[in-house]
Amino acid sequence: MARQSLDHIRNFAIVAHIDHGKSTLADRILEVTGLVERGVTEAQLLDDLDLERERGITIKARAVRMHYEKDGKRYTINLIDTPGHVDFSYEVSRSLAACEGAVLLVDATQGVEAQTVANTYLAVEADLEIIPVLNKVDVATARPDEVAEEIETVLGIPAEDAMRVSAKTGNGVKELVDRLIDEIPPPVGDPEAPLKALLFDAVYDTYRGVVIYLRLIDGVLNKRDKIRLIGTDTEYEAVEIGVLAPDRVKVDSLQAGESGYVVANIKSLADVTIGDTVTLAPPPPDLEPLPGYRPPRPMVYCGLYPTYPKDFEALRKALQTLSLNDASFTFHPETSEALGFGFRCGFLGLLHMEIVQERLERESDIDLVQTAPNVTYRITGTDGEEIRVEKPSDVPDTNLIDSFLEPIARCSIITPTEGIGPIMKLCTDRRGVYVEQQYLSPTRAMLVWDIPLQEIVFDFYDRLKSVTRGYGTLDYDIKGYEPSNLVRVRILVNAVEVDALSMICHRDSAESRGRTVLKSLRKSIPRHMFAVPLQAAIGGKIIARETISAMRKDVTAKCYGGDITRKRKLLEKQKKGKARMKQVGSVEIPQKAFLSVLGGGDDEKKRR
Amino acid sequence: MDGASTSADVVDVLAVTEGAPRIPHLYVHWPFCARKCPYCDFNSHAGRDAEHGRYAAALIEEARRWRGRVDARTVFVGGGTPTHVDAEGLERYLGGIAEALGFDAVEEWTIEANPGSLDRAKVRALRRVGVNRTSLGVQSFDDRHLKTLGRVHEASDAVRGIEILREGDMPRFSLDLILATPGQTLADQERDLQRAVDLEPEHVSAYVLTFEEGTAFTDLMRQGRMPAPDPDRELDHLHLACERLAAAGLARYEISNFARPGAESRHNLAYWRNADWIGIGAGAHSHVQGRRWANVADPAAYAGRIEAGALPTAWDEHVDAPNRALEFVLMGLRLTEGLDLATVEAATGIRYETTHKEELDELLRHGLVALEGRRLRLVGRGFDLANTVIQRLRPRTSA
Ligand SMILES: Nc1nc2c(ncn2[C@@H]2O[C@H](COP(=O)(O)OP(=O)(O)OP(=O)(O)O)[C@@H](O)[C@H]2O)c(=O)[nH]1
Ligand code: SF4
Ligand SMILES: [Mg+2]
Repeated sequence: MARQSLDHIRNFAIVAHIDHGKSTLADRILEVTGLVERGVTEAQLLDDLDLERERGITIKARAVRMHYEKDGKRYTINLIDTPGHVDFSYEVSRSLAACEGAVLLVDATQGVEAQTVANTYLAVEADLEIIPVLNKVDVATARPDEVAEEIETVLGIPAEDAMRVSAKTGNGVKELVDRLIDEIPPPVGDPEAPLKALLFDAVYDTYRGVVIYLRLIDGVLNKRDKIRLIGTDTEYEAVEIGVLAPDRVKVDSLQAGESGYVVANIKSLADVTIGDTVTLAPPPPDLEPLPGYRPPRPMVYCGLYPTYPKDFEALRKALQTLSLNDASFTFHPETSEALGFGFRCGFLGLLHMEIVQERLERESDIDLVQTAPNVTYRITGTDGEEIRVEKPSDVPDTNLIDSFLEPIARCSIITPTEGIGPIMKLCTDRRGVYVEQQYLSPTRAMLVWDIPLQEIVFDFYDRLKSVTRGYGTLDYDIKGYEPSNLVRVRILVNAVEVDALSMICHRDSAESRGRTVLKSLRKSIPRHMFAVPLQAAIGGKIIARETISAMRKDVTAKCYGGDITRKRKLLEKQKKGKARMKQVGSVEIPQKAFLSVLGGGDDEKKRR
Repeated sequence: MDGASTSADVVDVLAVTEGAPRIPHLYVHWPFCARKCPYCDFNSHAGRDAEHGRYAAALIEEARRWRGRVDARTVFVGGGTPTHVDAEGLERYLGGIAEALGFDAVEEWTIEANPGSLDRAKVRALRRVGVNRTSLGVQSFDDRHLKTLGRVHEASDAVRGIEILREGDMPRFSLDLILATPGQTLADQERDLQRAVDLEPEHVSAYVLTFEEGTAFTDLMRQGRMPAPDPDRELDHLHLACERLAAAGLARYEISNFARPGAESRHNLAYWRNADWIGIGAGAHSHVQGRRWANVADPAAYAGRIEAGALPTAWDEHVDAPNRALEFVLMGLRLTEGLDLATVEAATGIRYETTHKEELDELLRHGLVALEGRRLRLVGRGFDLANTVIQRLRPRTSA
């Protein structure tokens, strides 16, 4: 039998800018199809990671299967709720690879925003049927007509008859589901052909090993079948298969066009690669593996070190486990003089970095020291050799550098027109180069600038929000590397260089960055019994200095017989606290100080 | 909190210390006060005067259990306010303890008293039982600061208290002062010190006010209704005290204690030299040859245990060698005379010059300690940074 249209199946993802209501709409769809009862569950049911609930954002794409009856016919629907934040766009593109259609959700009170544009492009690239939908029409300030027009002008998608819904009240959602059934093409596949499935996600379970998630392209998978993971050449027995509805529900078989999970007692994390092709063992000789996913390109790096050196191996295991569930970060071992053995980890952005670090700490119970993040650079040496710089201490001596290149981001910023002036100033301050500007409507515009990535990953987004009173949105893509006047700034604490604190920045801002870091170190390093000089230097030249003055008073007024035990225990406790400090020379540096390079320890809190 | 049940993991302290030499120091705790001061975290209770009789009987009974095991050279009755009881009751409990243990060898017998809780009859009673030293909780001679501190007495009570002691032939007395009370200026402090010196005490204890966990002051401070402690200011007050008291012939012999030569508190010296002592009464701590324990803290629970013939011990521990060594250091370094590392080695087998060579070198280099022969003592800024110094000398064992 040939590949055929699997008429009863619909696979689609919901994509949108952050906070436009994807997860809330997913809730309503689950209710309309009767998978969950109205109002019984918490809001944003699919945001089931603790971190997602705490932050109110989606971090991981989440698939769910349901049934729906229309015109007397029973359909199987697979819906994928995706994250909206720019750092997680890799999750979105992975999700789209398992779909035939995408609901492009636009908040009718906000309009088209930066990730609306970015995600639309992803859907177009993936060749999906795009269904624009206007959300939040229950809100008084909604302006659906204008927003529909924006969708047409900016995205080139006909939107006159775009559905108008309220994911909050559920208004229009049933009609939306009907329309999705009509307009999204069913998947194409051959249930009779050998099994060919895309491994699109995985999660580690202490008792059951690695649980893998598959989208079946061709063939059928039955319980007890022997499966083969093509990329790693390994075979396992599918001891349990099932679907997500939204929790795991066992089934006896899955077939072409469907998605589900497989438990196969996979104990080795290394055997599982996201994007791999899965078939039955023995593999058919002529099986063409699926194209898989384009590997993510981490743009922001930081060092992660265990607070207690003994946790190094545990940290490696934790990173491996987490990378199963988040294929978009990378890690490899590195050593720092100040921090010992740890890992250099690459992320798609700062929020991604924060989330990974927090998930690691929670899911593994390992205390971590994180160094300040940096972007990647390229250096061409005087010997013509090109090196990729992932951390400041990789930078060779100045006289060995022929050219120093940094990544440039092409930034699309969407803003109300009154934000244009302040944004232009902000972009100029950040060494940006103007590319173009386009009006989306009389009141909104899209600005395109090329800005060095290092100037935008840290606080650019916050600044953008503040100069546009919250309305400006940003999306960016790496355009390439360009030569720039970059230097490595070394930081010395009590005359000892602390490698984990050095940073790369533009020569023009080296002094002020150096000063900011020293100021912040001065606040975070406790006073010692002696004065501690802090210095920033380029090569041997000191460009900034500060001093932490010596501690003056540290004495207990009263100590008699009954206080001895308490006092001794207090010392033990302090000693434990000190274990969280890193000793550099004779100075004890608290972990938070290693983030000083971000400039001002307060920023760090604000982001949380 | 601590009920009358004796936990299974508490040893019989009477039995385990059986073979030890007779114990030379005795502490007695009287946990009652007229009013609870807002900065106080001692085991002291106001409004429980009805318990005095029962508690006194328990004290005497606990003392009896130690008969023959104690050969007191020094006795210290602390609180609470040991004189917060009527004259008769005072004489009864002190006399009862003296009789139970036999105080023939006692050289120094101190009692703590608050101004206002003393009268002629009580001083006579103290003298009759043999008390020869009184430590008077004056805290300040300025009514404004006494009010801030929530003390029941006024400055005039302090002066009057000393008169009564002198008239009653109390041989020795000491004054307690609190330094750096919120709102107290350096000039105020200077006046307080002058008034103290004018009364010609042989001994002064001067403590920088400390914000202890669980006190009303600490709560107020956290709520921002009282200024947070300012170490620089505290240090100015402390340095002033050292200077003024020294000028009056009262030498600093411990971080917060000052005396004319020979007038040091021998009982407290015993603590700082890590000697053996027994404490009786609610919450009292004891130390015999590296074993430490404490009685249950609540006065009624304590009395209940004694009445039931049970051990009043709440917990006990045998301190291992590295921690014993640390105790020698953390107590001994408080004294101007410092501590003899040979004594530490003899008691614990730990030779600090070897185990903490680097740290000692660093401390010496920064001029915080001096090491002469095997005697280690704080010098200069070391007194202001005693905790930092001690922190460096903590044992290295255990992960
Ligand atoms: N009034 C109103 N509020 C809505 C509607 N849909 C969503 N919201 C609210 O908008 C906020 C964001 O909703 P989410 O569903 O978490 O948005 P999201 O697109 O999934 O966000 P990310 O996953 O973080 O990108 C929540 O506070 C929702 O309650 C709607 O139709 N009307
Ligand atoms: S008088 Fe002394 S023991 Fe009693 S409450 Fe006041 S400070 Fe505490
Ligand atoms: Mg969401």
